[in-house]
Amino acid sequence: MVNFLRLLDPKVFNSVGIGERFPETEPYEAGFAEHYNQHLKEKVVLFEEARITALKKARRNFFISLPLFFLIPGILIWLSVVISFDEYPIELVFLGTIFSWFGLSVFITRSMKLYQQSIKTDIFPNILSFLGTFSYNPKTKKSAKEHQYSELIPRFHRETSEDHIQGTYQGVDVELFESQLKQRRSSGKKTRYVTVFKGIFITLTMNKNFSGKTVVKKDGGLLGNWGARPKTLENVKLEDPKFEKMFEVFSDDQIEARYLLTVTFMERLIELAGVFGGKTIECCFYQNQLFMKIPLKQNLFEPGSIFEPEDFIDDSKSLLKELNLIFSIVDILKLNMKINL
Amino acid sequence: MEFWIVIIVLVVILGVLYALYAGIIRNKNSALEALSGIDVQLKARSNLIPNILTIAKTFMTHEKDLIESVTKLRTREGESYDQDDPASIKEHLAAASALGSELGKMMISVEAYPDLKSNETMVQAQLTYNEVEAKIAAARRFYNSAVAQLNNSIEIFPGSILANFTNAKIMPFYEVDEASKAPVSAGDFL
Repeated sequence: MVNFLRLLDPKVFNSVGIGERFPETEPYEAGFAEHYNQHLKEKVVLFEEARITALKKARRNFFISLPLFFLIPGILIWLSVVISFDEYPIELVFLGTIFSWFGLSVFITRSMKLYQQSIKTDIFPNILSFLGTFSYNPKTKKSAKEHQYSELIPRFHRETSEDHIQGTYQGVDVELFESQLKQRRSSGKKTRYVTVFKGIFITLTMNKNFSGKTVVKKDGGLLGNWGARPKTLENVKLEDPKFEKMFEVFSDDQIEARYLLTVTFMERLIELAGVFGGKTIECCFYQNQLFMKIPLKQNLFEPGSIFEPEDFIDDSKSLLKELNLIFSIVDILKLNMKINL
Repeated sequence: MEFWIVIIVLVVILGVLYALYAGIIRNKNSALEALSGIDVQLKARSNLIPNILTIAKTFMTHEKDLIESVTKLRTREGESYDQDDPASIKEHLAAASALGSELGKMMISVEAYPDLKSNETMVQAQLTYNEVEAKIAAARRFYNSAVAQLNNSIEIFPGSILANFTNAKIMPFYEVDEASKAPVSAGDFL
């Protein structure tokens, strides 16, 4: 509703301040101003026009829909009175109203959503090219099911995946996608879907092969850990009390688990949890890959507000910041080093 | 009624004693498994030594004593030992530790021989050596953890009594060689 009201604000159609120079304020942004001038600046005018067109279309659809927001419930109530309440239950009036309002909202916001989608498909790859050979796909068929070997995927019945990014950073192959997993829960006749995971799945292909499987899970307390232990794996007791308090390690190779989880690596994993807002990261070493499951509250890799003039500066800044956060996994864990983690 | 209470108490006591007994056996087997894990890694290091020595002999003409010491310790470490005898295990681990220390010295000495340091085979051998040493360190951590669990279970009452029935003995820790613990003087390497 707030978005609809903003459509009435004439300021959102202003193109003030676009076409400025990209300000490099963070160390990881060094050199991006040049990249911005070469690959993005030329598209600013075109996309700003598209933004205004999309907003105008949304505003027009809003005015068309405005009477319908009141008319449809009115008609439904009138029908219910004419037909009589016995045969025409009041629930249908509510349901009809909700569905019609939802349909009208889609009708109004469609042009805005299409515009934002175009930012993701046309602009994000250009931003990512600054970091090297990275591919980006806003829609993906990647599934958490592919990583069930990791023992980290909770039981789920619904899955939404998006923002698939793949490339190489510091010689380490990085692949990630955003995912939301929901579990079906029934009580009596009622069925509801509860989110059991929201965040990102990252796969880092390393330069060494692991003979066993080592899983690092968040510590779930005495009872939680008992239930969390994968059937084929054994508990690994490690020396770092701080690490033991945060994580629980399971492996089918006790020596390899300790080879991977050196004292330094344990410290780095604790540090990494701090980088991701204290959220406990879980990971699995298997074959030549380190698979990580990072829960996040916010939705990553989303374009900036459509109500602000388009110059891709905010988009670039947020995308670079989010990827820098992810790349810090490689840096902090020193996964690019050939020998010893 | 009293009869059944006595029976229940006896069953509970026997159950607890059996759980402790089984725990000691489990800990003992775990420690022996960890010891085998160390031996696997020590064997990998032992197999690497002849290659290192072959290259080293060609270049390190002034390190004859060191090379001889490594050869002797390798033979000592490879000798068979009794896994049920803590003294024998201690001796075996001490030999392994001493060999690790001497090999460490040898790797540092390589720095003084630029031709050897840049030798392709030596570079590869050093990388493999670092990898093997990291695995030995991991195996040592597993062994020491298993030994700590075993020793606790047979030293704390009533485990101390039950240990006699399980033939479990206090096992020695795999400690790092004293030379490795000594403070490092930068001057020695400059």
